[in-house]
Amino acid sequence: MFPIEEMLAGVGVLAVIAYALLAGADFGAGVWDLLARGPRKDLQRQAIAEAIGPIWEANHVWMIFLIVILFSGFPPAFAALSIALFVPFHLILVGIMLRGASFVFRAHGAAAAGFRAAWGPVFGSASVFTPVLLGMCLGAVSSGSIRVSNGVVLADYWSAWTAPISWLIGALALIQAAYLAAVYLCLETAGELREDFRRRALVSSLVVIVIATVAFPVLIAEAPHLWRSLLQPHVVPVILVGMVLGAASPWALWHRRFRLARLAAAGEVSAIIVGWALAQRPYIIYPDVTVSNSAASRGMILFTLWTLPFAAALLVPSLWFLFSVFKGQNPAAAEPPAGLTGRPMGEATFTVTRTDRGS
Amino acid sequence: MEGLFETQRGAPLTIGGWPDVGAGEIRYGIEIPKGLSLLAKHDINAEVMGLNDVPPRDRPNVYIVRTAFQIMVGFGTALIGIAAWYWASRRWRRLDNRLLLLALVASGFMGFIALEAGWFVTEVGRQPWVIYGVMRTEDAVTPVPGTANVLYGFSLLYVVLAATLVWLLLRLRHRGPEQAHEHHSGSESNVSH
Repeated sequence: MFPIEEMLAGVGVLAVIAYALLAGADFGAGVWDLLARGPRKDLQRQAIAEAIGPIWEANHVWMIFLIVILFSGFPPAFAALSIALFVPFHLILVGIMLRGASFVFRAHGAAAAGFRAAWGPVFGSASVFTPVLLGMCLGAVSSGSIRVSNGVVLADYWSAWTAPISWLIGALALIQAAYLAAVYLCLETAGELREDFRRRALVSSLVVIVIATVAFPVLIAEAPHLWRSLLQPHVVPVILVGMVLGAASPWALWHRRFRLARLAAAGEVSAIIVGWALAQRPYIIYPDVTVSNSAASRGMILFTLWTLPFAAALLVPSLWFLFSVFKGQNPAAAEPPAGLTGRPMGEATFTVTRTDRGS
Repeated sequence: MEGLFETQRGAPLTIGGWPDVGAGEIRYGIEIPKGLSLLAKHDINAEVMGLNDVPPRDRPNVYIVRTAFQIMVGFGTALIGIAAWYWASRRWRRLDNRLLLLALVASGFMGFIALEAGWFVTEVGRQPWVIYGVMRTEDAVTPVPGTANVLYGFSLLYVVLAATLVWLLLRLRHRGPEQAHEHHSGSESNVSH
């Protein structure tokens, strides 16, 4: 039986996975919005807006969930992280705010061309720098650049999260997010639009391979402890599963088996995060803050664990309902919806598509 | 909160006026004898502790807390009054009163202002503690330098977002009712799904 604080930390890892799979794809969709080009530029943007419109806000519930677990279950770790990573955390906050605000502004201010032109790039660029920063923070807690001694955080507010290893993990997070988004979008579009996203997914899977290849030597040189942990006998199989799925997903995409590609992509990201968490264990912030030395009192951990079934009873049906309404049996997957017939994106086309889907 | 300086039995409730912290009194206020003892302890002769018995380093900002409290209670009372006025006017069929309509419009803002003033009372009134009696705010604050700039930055960001939102809402208002209706029917069918 695991100690109870490890159980709570495990729930935290599940929240990271959920955030990566859902909000990650959200950020990735923003990347493709920024990079939309070719003859179907506006249609690409419209498909992206339709895909993430109903759900982008709900996806951030997982980050809040993780913050609450850290705050109530591991307060010293929470305090150390919010001091050492003050700068990137606030930039991430700005990114998430700007993304949401510009997305809504753009959708409702569609008729004013100047307005759209101003807020569109804000949405796209916030979607790029936010996942990079999230990945960089993940790199910082693993690399050993944040030290904590007697409750005092010893970290440079800038260099703690800007080491080469952080940049690489940030870049990986961004490209993975873009890949996930492109694969998901293949299932929400049809025809030439689907081919656009398929091509984008295949290109980004190549970029993932390139970055991962660069990452290995940097990892060995800069974070040998993490490299050794990744080679532990109980971690290697998980990483291997991740790599096999990571290869299977573009293969499935190549053969136009989109559902399989989505499943493999989600499995790959989950396996990599689980592998990272197993290698990171027992540390929350390597090498000074561990799960056990930063755990709150036993009563607090038990209380938090016991609230989970109640939280799940509320959250799971709501999310299931949300996703089944907007994502289940999507008519867009079978044939292009009425809105995607070549008209430029605007308020009117929005309305037509939404009415159509409702009937 | 009420700006009482001397600890006393049968303490009065002072409405309005301006606290003079140096002299330790409220100037130009209306005093209701024994009102505070009645409110705080449900007994007109109960002893109420005054600010002078709290060490200066443990006192919050009297000006902000007292003013915010007066605004909150004043607006809350006014809202009750406006509600009573409305029901009375309805009862006696005098609803076409311009003053009443203005008061009803104002009550929307007053509710928000009273709410915000209430937050000032609790948050400033809790100072210098962040957790009352357990941790002082100065011990809880992050050691990261430059937090003031972060505050200015976020304030500026919110001003820009709020201004954009207002501009957008004004634009939406100028759109024809036809378009507004079309949009409405779209979201309605979404719900029925």
